[in-house]
This record gives sequence, C-alpha cells and structure tokens, in this order.
Amino acid sequence: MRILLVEDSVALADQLVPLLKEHGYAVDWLADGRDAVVRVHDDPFDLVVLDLGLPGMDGLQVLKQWRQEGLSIPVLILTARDSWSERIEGLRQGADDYLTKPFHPDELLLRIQALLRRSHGNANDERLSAGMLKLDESRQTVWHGEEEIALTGAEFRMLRYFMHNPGRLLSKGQLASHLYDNESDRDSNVLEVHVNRLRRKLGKAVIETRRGQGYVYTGQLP
Amino acid sequence: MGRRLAISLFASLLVAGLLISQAALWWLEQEQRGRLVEQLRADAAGVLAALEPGSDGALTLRNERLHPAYRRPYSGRYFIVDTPQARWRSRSLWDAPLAPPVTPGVASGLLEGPAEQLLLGYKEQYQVRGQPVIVSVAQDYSPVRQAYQRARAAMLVFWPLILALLALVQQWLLRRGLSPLRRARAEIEQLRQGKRSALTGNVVRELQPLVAEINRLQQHTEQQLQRSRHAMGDLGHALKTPLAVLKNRCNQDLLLKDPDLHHLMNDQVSQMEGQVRRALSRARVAAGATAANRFCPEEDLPLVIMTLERAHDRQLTFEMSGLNGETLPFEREDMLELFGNLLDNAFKWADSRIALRFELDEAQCVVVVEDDGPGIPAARRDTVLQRGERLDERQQGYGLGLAIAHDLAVAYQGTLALDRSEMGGLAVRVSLPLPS
Repeated sequence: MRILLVEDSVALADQLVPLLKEHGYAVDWLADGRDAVVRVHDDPFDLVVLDLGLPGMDGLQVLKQWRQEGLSIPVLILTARDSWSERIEGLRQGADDYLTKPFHPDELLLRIQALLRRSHGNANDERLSAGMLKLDESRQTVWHGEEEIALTGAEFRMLRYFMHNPGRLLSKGQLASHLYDNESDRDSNVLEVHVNRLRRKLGKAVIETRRGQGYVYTGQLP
Repeated sequence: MGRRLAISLFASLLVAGLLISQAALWWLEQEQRGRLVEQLRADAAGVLAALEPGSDGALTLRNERLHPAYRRPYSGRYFIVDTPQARWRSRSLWDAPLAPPVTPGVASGLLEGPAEQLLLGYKEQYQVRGQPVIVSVAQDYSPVRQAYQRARAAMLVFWPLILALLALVQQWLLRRGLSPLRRARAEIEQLRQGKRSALTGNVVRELQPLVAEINRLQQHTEQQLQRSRHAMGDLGHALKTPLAVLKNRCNQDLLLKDPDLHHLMNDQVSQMEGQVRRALSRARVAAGATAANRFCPEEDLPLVIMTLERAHDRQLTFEMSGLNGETLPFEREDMLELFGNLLDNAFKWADSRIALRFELDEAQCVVVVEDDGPGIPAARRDTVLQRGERLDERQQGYGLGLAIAHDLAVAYQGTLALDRSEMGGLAVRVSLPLPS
C-alpha cells in the first residue's frame, strides 16, 4: 500500500514517515500543495494523508482540484482545524475522513486501515479477510482458521496489497509501484523472492502466476 | 406617540375650526342686523313722511304714500304710529297684536309678531307741529335668523367631515411617503435574522445612502468575523502541530526510557491541547452577531452524522425527531460545533442507539441528545461541565466536548443540563432562547 503524505511541518513528517513505514506502507512525502496537485498523477497511490494549512496551495483547494479532475483516490485530511464546519467542508470537498491534530498515532493508523478497506469495498471487520485468510494489521500476522502465521515486514506488505485486491491480475510493475516509494530500490527479483516465500508459508495455490502477465491472489489454501 | 399627536391635532383643529366658524357667523349676523336697523330707521322716516296735517290741524296717515308691503297682511313689515289723538296700525298687522318697543331706539330683543314671526323692532319719537309722534316699525327677522341657524348647523356637521377627510388624505400620503422606510426596516429585520445577506439597493433616492451604509456595515461585520475566525484557526494550527509532534515523540521514545516523565509530559500536553481547543471554540462563537448563515438541522446534521460514522467507524441507529424543515435563527457554525460535540460524545458512548429530539415553541428551542451508553453518574455531572474533566482516559477528551457545548449554550443565553436517559445512557438537554 502506497501513501502520499502532504504535510508542511517537517517535525511531524519526520515522525509520520517512519511510523507509516514501520506499519508496512510505502510513503512519499510532500510539503507543498502545488506539488501535491501534480504528484498524485505520477504514481499509483492508494491513499493520501493531506494537511490543510499548506504553503503554496491550501489543502482544500488541492483536494477540490483532484476531485474536479475525477481522481477518486481516498483522502484522509489531517489538520489542526478542528471546528465542525471545517470538518464538514472537508468532507463536502470530497475527503473520505478527517482527523484533527494533535492525534494519537494509533488513531491515524486505524483510520488509514479502515479507509483502505472501505475503498476496496471490504467489510469493516477487525481483520482484513480475503479468501481463506484473515490479516491482522496491528500484529502484522495472518490467520488461517485458528492458526496464526508470522510474517516479515516485506511479506506483510505484499500480502496486504494482494488481499486488498483478491482475484485481480497484478503485474510486477503494479506491485512494485504500490509497495515501494520512489526512494526504494525496485528489483523485480525481490518481488519474486517475496512471492515465493509467501507460497512457502501459505501454500502454492494462494498466489497464482500468470506467465508474462503477473500474479493473481486466490486465497486458496490446501 | 404619533397616534396621540394625530388625535390631539385633530381635536384642536376641530375645536378651533368650530369656534372660528361660529364666531364668524355670529359676527356676520350682527352686521346683517345692523343693516336691517338702518333700513328700519329709513322705514320710520318713510312712515313719518306719510303723516300729513289735515285741514283741522289733526294729523292723518296717507296710505298711498306708504310702502305697499305695509298693506299686505303679514307681509313682514309693520308699523304703529301713536299720536296723542290717535294710533295707526299698518294694515299688514291685520288683527294681530304687536307690542311696540318700550324705549326708543332698537328693541333689545326680538318682538313676537303675527303668524309666529319674530320681529326686529325700532321706535322713534318725533315732534310734528308741536305734537309728539311715536313711530314704531318692525320687520320680520325670522328668515335671516333661520338662514344663520342653518349655516351654523351645517358648519357643525361639515367641518368635522372635512377634517376627517383631510386626515385620511394626510395619512395616506404619509403612508405612501414612508413605505420605502418600512420596507427597509423589514429588510433590516430579515438581515438580523439571517434571511438575507444585504438590503436591496433599489429604493427611493433619499434612502439610497442609508441603505448603502447599512450594507457596508453588514459587510464589515461579516469580514471582521471571518478575519477573527481565520486568525483563530491559524493560531490553532500553529499550536497544534507542535503539540502533535511533542505528544507523538513522547509516546514513542519517552514511554520506555522514563515512564514517570512520559506520564507527566503526556498529561501536560493533553491539558494544553484541551485548553487550546476550548479557548479556540470560545473565541469562534458568533452568538449575537448577524447570522448570515442560519442553521437548518435537517440539512446540516446528516453531514455531521456522516462525519461521525466515518470517524468512529461504527454504524449506530440514529433518530432525529421534532422538526419540519425549520431553519433556526442561530449561527450555522456555532450550531455545527454544538451538535458536533454532543453527537461526538454520543457516538463514543452509545451501545447501539442515539436519539436527537427537537422541541420548538415560540420562546425557545430545546434539544435533547440521548444515547444508550453507560451515562455519567449524577455526582460527577457538574464537574464535567465546569472543567471539561476527562472521565475516561481511554477515550480522549470525553468531558471537553460537553464543556464546549456548554460554553456555546451559555453564549446563546441558554442552558445545558445533564440527566439520565430513559434509553439508559446520558441525556443532554440544551435550551436555547429564540430571539424575539
């Protein structure tokens, strides 16, 4: 899952970027509203965390422009403007959720999880379920019935993206662009390695390979 | 005031008009009488001229020299001539008695004449050949008198009628002249109630500067409000981002290294956060200012509910009752803040159900927000409102929302009371007086 963070406070961004990375998100950070308007078209982000009081262009203006351009990416507004009329204005302009500063980091993570699930049309359970598996995002583990299977950070990231898109054909390029930010080293071999590790842990059938096209998550376990 | 003035003006015009008209008629009648007396004097001289000494030295009356009216019965002109030897009465008197005036000159009152005539009498004494001759003449005065009486009566009737008519015309003119003012007044009232944002500039020329000035004032107030709100928002932003950084850092690093310091820092930062929030929400209140945006619960509250459903990530049964599309005369932003905070609490604590009830009457708007959560014990309800005390550490800022709602209710001269709900949880009852 790839997140675009638009936040002009360097101190806060310095905290949020590691926090989000720690929880398995690929994060790109921008501080200027004008950059954000353009940047969102360059990479396939899954979610935007948007501050409102931005230099260059106000967050609400940025959001308005995105929505006018027909961009339907989920947007979580993270702002110090906490009056109710501002919250409602944010939602009117097309925000999907609104979190006010100061906030608890866990709260932000929960909201991001919920928003991602909603945007993929998933029911709002405690765990993300697809096929025969249930993903526990706080513990970064996966459950198969009563059995909890531990995952490495990279495996968790990949499985989460698969589970958000069950049954869909995902090319390597797609996977890479959603799992890594621009600073990461994108090597298609690394992707294959992680797919193979997941198969070793969960069974061969859980992810199908379409030769020359990519992968499909089936969620089927032996 | 205006009515009383109009009535007293009407009354004094009526009395003065009546007095003047009656006095004028009286004076005219006196004039008329004076002329009649002159004529009587001439008549007396005429009658005297008709006396002729006869061959025997006695006086005789030569009828043919008299005015013909003295010969026609009850003609209205009469005379009596008294000499020591004889008395002549005009033929016009026929057989009716007539008492001549007692003293020479004009009779003081009117004399009773024949055929119910009232006569103006005049008596003159002459000496003819050494003999005293007394000539009394009289003339019917009743037609004159009747004419004046009619004129007086007509004045009594017509003057008030004319006055009333004039008053009506004046009223109509005034009304027509003041109607732009009345329209402007109605519009200013609408402005105050937030039903319109400016006065229409399309008014009579005399009022245009006033209307333009009021519009400028309104704009100025609006801008002032916007400016101070933005300034507050900026201040909030400036304070809260550092607070968020401090708090996160505190949670991340300090928790393991120094739990005591972490606890202290966390507590202090939370307090600062609460203070900032409450101070900002107080400063934002626009109660009493012109309400350009009025609050329409049925339009605005669904958005609040939607926001809350997303924020709390739970689906609760929400019922709203007691409204029929009314717009309430309160500032929209303030009411969003009030209801946002109350419903936010309800969403935090409700098990499955929230009810929002409006009770509107002429004097006030009562809102009751109820949930089926755990509620607040009676002993702690007061402290919650006073200090925004947090009741449960797990859920952030429980009491703060209630305290902010309380501040808002007070700013609108209303009250906020906490009670136990029949649904099992907390019932918050807010009464806001409606501006008259």
